[in-house]
Amino acid sequence: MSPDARAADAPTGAVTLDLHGDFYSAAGIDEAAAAYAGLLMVERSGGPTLHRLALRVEDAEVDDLVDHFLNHALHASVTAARRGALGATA
Amino acid sequence: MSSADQNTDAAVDLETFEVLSDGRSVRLQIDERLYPLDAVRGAAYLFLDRCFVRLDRPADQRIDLTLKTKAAPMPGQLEQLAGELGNALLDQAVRVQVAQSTGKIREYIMARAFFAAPAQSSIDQLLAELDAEELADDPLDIQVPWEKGGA
Amino acid sequence: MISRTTLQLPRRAVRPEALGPFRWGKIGEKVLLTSDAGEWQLLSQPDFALLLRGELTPTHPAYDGLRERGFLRQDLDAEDLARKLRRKRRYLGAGPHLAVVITTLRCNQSCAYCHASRTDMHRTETDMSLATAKKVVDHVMRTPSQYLCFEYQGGEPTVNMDVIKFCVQHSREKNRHERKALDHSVVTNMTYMNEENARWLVDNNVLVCTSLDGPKEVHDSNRPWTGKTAAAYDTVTGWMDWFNRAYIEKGLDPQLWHVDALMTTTRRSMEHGKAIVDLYVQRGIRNVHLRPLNPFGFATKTWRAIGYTMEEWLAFYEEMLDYIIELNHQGVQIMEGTAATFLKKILTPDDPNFVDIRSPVGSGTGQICYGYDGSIYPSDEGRMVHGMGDAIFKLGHVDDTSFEQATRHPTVRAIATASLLDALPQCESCWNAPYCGVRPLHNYMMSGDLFAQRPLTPKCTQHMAMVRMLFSRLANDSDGRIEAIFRRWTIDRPRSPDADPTA
Repeated sequence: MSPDARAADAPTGAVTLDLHGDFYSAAGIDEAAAAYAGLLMVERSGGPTLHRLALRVEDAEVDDLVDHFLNHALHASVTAARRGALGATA
Repeated sequence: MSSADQNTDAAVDLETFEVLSDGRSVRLQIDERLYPLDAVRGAAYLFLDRCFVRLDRPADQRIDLTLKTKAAPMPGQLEQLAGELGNALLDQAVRVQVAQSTGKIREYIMARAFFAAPAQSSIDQLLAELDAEELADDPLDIQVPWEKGGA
Repeated sequence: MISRTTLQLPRRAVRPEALGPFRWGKIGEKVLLTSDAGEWQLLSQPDFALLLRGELTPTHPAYDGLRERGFLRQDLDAEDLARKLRRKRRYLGAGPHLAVVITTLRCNQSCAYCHASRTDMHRTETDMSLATAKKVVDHVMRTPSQYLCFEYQGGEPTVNMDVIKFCVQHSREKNRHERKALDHSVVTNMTYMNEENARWLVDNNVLVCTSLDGPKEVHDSNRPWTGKTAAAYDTVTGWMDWFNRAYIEKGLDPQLWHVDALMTTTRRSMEHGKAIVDLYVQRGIRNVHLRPLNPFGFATKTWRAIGYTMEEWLAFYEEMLDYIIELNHQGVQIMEGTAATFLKKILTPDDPNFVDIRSPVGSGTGQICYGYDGSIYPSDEGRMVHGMGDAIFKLGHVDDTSFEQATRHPTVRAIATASLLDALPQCESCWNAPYCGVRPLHNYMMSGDLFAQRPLTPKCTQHMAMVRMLFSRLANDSDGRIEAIFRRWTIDRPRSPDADPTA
């Protein structure tokens, strides 16, 4: 269905994704990128409305890397949004 | 907590969602005027264990929420997921409504509880009062220590 | 090929201005409402619909309960709710009350599931020195908490008995001025115990907690004793008997003074569940604490042999919970430890301040851990992470880090933020939030992320399921017998903290 999701099925190679800033924060994307360092190369540009991501799968042995990365980016972004709404910082 | 844990049935009207499916994923098209972003985020988050989750904004005031199964779906699984997602969305919308409506009250209670604590003597007095209430109200005879009574 | 369909679902009608602040979720066919202060009420689904619509009238049987608990806007007493919440969260700002002191890493057992970063018995360089022990005691006694429990762990802590003796004596000496309520507790496998040390522990009122994984075949299988042909089980139970006799001879109340025991569940344990509970009953231990394995550290290497899924463990736990309840119905006095912790939160106006299940978690704010070399950690898990080569949780060292610096360390703040349930997606609206607690260090060990994706964390699954089991039983308790049993499990009878025999 989603062209991005189909692209993410490809085991290797480059993928370009646009993530909307209402759902995905730059910090959340960067945190996910750090978590997947060595498995996935992530370059972020654009923002804050739209983040453009250039991704390259570096470890083809791991299935669904881009999808896992996106889940992590969403988790980190939603978590930070909730924390920000409360004004809770470390 | 799964989406099913949060869903509760208290139905009146019917809500209609447009659902797209491609055999591996389902996408709900959501009107943000009806479902605030916090409710969409809340619903999406509940599926992170079972699905790959994606949020997109194809147009102003519209959110697409896509769930892709982590393994090839079983027959009927995508339809079930769409139903669960829709219910989760409805449920989260109610939670957001209640949270917004009661937010100021909660803030006041928290502030009174933690930032405007009365003097220690008042706390001790309060605790003594609460303890006294508990001891007075013991219909189950639970204050009897184990070794002095049967369970 | 893309298909397009429509989905029609029932929508809830809500009049939020009629409602107080609460969270909710399904327990069987009922809806459970919970408040920040831990008060709760079960409603039928039609009644919940009435409540949401603001149509529940004062003549309704549930109305008074909902109003008293602040679930209705009508007559909502914010001051009363604030008082209840303050009492429930009395631990906030109180400071660490638990000091875990690692006297040595040396251990003479090599348990399959050990997380304690043990070393072999010849590694004397992993013993805490007396000079470090003095600094540790001086450090932790700066806690603002009026109650402080020293918990000696290892390795096998009694391998370095001199440090235990020193800490007990030095803390009591300091306490002549500090006037705190002190407890001392040693967590020992008993396999290094001798009569001189045992006598000293009894004479000095040091509480003893051991590991008893179950009947002989289970215990000896789980806890092999390095270099010995003697069985660990016989040794442990022999010393348990010795201590319990010594307490009686000393004139102490055996209901309060006896060796406590912890068990860890392996796949083998799950085949002997009832026998484990029966053993605890037979030995007069009233609290069996059924704990799942933590799937990291040593355990990952042998996970296939001893491990299981969380679902398997929860099925085991539920069977054991019902067995323990059944024994209570028969008049046997036994409780399950984690259930008792949750029930104190559910059924009493207080919180047991169990450092692993509270918001925020107690790491660095409710407890503090001192490594054998004087390194400071927010908890024993932080030390274990360091033992695996990652110093991320090290807060400093007793030589150069004050107590205030350690407990206000950015790492402690980050852990508190990552375990404040109101600040976590999913947790913030979860019905279990008043009773639950998340473990950021556990998350980090599992996924490298302090926050972790909530639905993927085993502790979320575990806590949710366990509390649901308790509420399910309360929801189907027409004669009140289950509640009576559960309330009994919430009663603490403290053993007079700091019974300093020399005072």
